[in-house]
Amino acid sequence: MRALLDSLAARFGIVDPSTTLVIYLLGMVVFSGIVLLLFVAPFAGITSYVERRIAARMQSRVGPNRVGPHGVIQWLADGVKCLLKEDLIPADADHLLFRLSPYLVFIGMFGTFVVIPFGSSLVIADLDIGFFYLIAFSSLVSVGLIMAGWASNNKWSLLGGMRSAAQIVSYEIPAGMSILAVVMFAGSMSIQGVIRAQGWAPHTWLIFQNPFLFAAYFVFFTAALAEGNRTPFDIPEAESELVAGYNTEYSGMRFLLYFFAEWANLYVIGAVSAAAFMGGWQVPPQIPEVIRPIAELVTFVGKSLIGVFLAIWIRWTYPRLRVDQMMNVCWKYLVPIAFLNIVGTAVWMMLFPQGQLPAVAASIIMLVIALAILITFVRKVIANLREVGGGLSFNPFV
Amino acid sequence: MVDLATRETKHRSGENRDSYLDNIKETCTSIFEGMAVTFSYLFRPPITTQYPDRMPVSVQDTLPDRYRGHLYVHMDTCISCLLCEKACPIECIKIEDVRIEKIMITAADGKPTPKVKEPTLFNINMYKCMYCGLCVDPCPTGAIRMTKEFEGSTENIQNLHFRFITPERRAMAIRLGEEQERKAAEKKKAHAAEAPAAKVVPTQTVADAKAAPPVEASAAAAPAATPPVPRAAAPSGENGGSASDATPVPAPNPPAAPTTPGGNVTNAPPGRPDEPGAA
Repeated sequence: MRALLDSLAARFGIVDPSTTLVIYLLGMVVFSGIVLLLFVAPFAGITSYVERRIAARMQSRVGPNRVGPHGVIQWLADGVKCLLKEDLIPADADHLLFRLSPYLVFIGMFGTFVVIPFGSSLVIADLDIGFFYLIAFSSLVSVGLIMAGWASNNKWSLLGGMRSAAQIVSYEIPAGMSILAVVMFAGSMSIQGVIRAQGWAPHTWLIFQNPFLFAAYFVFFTAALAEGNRTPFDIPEAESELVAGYNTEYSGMRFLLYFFAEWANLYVIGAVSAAAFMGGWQVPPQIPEVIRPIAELVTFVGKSLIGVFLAIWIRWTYPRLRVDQMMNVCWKYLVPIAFLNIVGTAVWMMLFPQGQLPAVAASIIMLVIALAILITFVRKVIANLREVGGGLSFNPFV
Repeated sequence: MVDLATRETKHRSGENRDSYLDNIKETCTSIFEGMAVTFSYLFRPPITTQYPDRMPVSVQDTLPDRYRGHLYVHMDTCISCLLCEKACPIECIKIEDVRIEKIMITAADGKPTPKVKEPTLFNINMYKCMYCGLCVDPCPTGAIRMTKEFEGSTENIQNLHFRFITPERRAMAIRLGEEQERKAAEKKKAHAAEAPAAKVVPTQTVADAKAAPPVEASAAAAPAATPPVPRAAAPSGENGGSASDATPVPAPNPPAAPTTPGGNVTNAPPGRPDEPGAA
């Protein structure tokens, strides 16, 4: 990003350092606006539609198929509906905090897009402490949720807000610790640096470097789901217990902002796991220079979408955890495993120095094991399909 | 997978030292199994049907024969006996009628039934109806019945106020009723003119009457035996003059009543608008 702006400035003959700073600032604001308007907002909307369609198919339903061809603009209709609805604020609510909290949640989610790359040069700011910034900034979401719960002056909202605080604070530890193992192995805290430490081939991805990083991926993904209040960790908005949790009193666009943040956060989960574990935007070096940025963009977004699909898939497979179960999972299982991963990765790095034959052999063996698990999974799916019988339907639009 | 009973036994006997790893293993395997199940559902056709416009056959065709949907009245076979109106527990059926010349109709069970009244109004409040079917059971001709139609959603609730008599048909029925009134009045005048003669030679009258069709004979011989129900007077006006003299109106059994048992419905006057044939 900075290199791009530098070249632009040089073309227009601007060399004055103070002017360059202003150009940097303006460029980042413009680029973040582009990302927000052209990527995050449509992504959140389209994901809501895709999620509903996938959920429907997993439950043998059809899903939304009325607005537009096969319902593809259902998300626009929902957005317009929410914009036109009345903006209700309860009389006894704390008006200032009530109005403020959706924006805090939104900022906490969108702020993470600053460090999320879309290619080797397409990133708003490649911070040296990228992962640290990401974890720290996404905590703003929990501030917003607690604020919403408190300001609503409603018991359900307050309970939802408190639960979300407990959940996010707990699950940040395993998520952060899993990332720490990655940072240790890659030798960089910058997201671009971690991606550069990997290659395009799967056996060079960090997830396959050693068994501890393989486990760290799943620990991170689980913890990230919990941080994003996704099912099966959606106890802050547990419908069966808390009406709707922290957003019980919200209506119209304010209500939509929470869901906007939730679905955009889904992309953040996918993008971070793709960047930290699955090679990020790395493409084969044979790809010509001209289409390289596009290939990188497609690769990275594609890998992120796998994570998004995984999150949706998990959501429609597992029931919600109870509060005590959720705390058990975090403190009794994920946190020790995350610490074990750090120690294990450190020991592994000492035993098998990177780049040498044993390390490479180990990563290839890990890749083979992962493929074996994948094949077992596919066979299980086929067995499930055979067991039930009936026809197959590969048409996503029915 | 460790089932709950063995786990409980293990827990009691204190040998649950490996339960931590067991739990992790169980979590991994159950997540694996569960996700395989849901993933396989992505490749199965949905079992729900896309109601209403993408059904292979219409839903109404899939319903059982005794389904109780919207009511329908076949007006040609309705004899306006008011049994359905009386049977309705919530009074959502409203019927008005006029007397007409007797016609023979064929009921749903094939039995010839005389029709002496023609409804001028047959309304069913479908939005009040509770679909109990009590009106269907007493109908002697099977005119009122429940269809398989169940889609009642409409923008105006008055669309569910079914009016089975069209304005044309109502006008026709009223005209028929007036004709009947006129004929009855004529006959009464004739009867009144004949009356003194009949007093003198009653046997003569009976002998004369025997030449006439039997229906008229019975009506003329025993006017009191058929209780007059001048319902027709209400819609057709007072031109019949039944209130002017105390003589009861004879039973409306004109000699010209065509009885064709083979046909379903015999329309006595020509040019009568036919019933919508959507039976």
